[in-house]
Amino acid sequence: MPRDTLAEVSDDALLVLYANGDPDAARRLTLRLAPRALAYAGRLLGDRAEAEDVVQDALLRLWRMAPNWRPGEAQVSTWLYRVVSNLCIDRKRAAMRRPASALADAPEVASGSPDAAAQMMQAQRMAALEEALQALPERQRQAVLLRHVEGLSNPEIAAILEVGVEAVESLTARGKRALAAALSGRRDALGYADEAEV
Amino acid sequence: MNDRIDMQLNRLLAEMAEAPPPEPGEAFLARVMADAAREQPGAAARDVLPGLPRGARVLRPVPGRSAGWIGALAEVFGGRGALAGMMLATVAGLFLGVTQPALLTPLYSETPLDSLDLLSGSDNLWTEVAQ
Repeated sequence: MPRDTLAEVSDDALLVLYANGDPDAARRLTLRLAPRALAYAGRLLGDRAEAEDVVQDALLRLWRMAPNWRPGEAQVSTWLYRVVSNLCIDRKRAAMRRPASALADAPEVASGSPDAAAQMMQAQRMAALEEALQALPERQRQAVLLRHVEGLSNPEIAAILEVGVEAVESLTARGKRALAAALSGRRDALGYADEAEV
Repeated sequence: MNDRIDMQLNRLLAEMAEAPPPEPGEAFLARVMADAAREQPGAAARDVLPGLPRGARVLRPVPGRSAGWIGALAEVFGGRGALAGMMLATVAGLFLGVTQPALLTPLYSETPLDSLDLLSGSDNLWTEVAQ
């Protein structure tokens, strides 16, 4: 099937095409789903290499269940978020808790220009936020990321975390409170110390 | 104070959401594509028949069907229903050939076809219509 036609095909249809032997469907589906899955797994695990392993494992499960996929019953992206979430929890439980390395891993930015300073400040803010996210309980971290970073709705998150919508609201609210508490002592690292009091 | 922290947190989360997701690296894509090729239905047949194109469908035996010569013959004729029809026609032909039923000639030779009138009143009807 030509690429320009595949670009308009739904995830469901691409998966069915893959199951039917289409040679290009898997690559199109991977390019469409993997970036967000990698970003999500990376934020859950705090490690890019581990995130790649998890996403590869999740996609492998997707390929294996493709012949039995029922189009219209669930969204492929929601299914993938759920599998990635569970695999990340498994990894976290299996591994010893690593010291947060987000600040150390922050990209080095050449200093000397206003742009470089701004980039460095933004990298610091992101590192501080990621460090605070890593300190959250697993379910709260997932709920906050899915709601406020991935931009999913509460019913979608409920389907991914396999809980009710009220539980999602509670997890998100508690997660944000904990994040705010963790970041309140680091206003200098966030670059907001000099902001006027509201 | 809390409102300000909430606002800053929301701004931070928005910054994180707006950051472009990482592009999958070539090595990662190669690993995923290798998995996909290996797991794609029909991959085992392609291993046995390397010349088979990746898009080709591989026919597999349907579970529950007999694999004997009757099953094979039925597949040739397009299924068991078609095979039954062919057998019925064969038996009917054999029956007609063996019993040699009487010819139909006596039935129509007694009444010549040129004198047969299927609509006996039609001449009168046409006459009335013409008037």
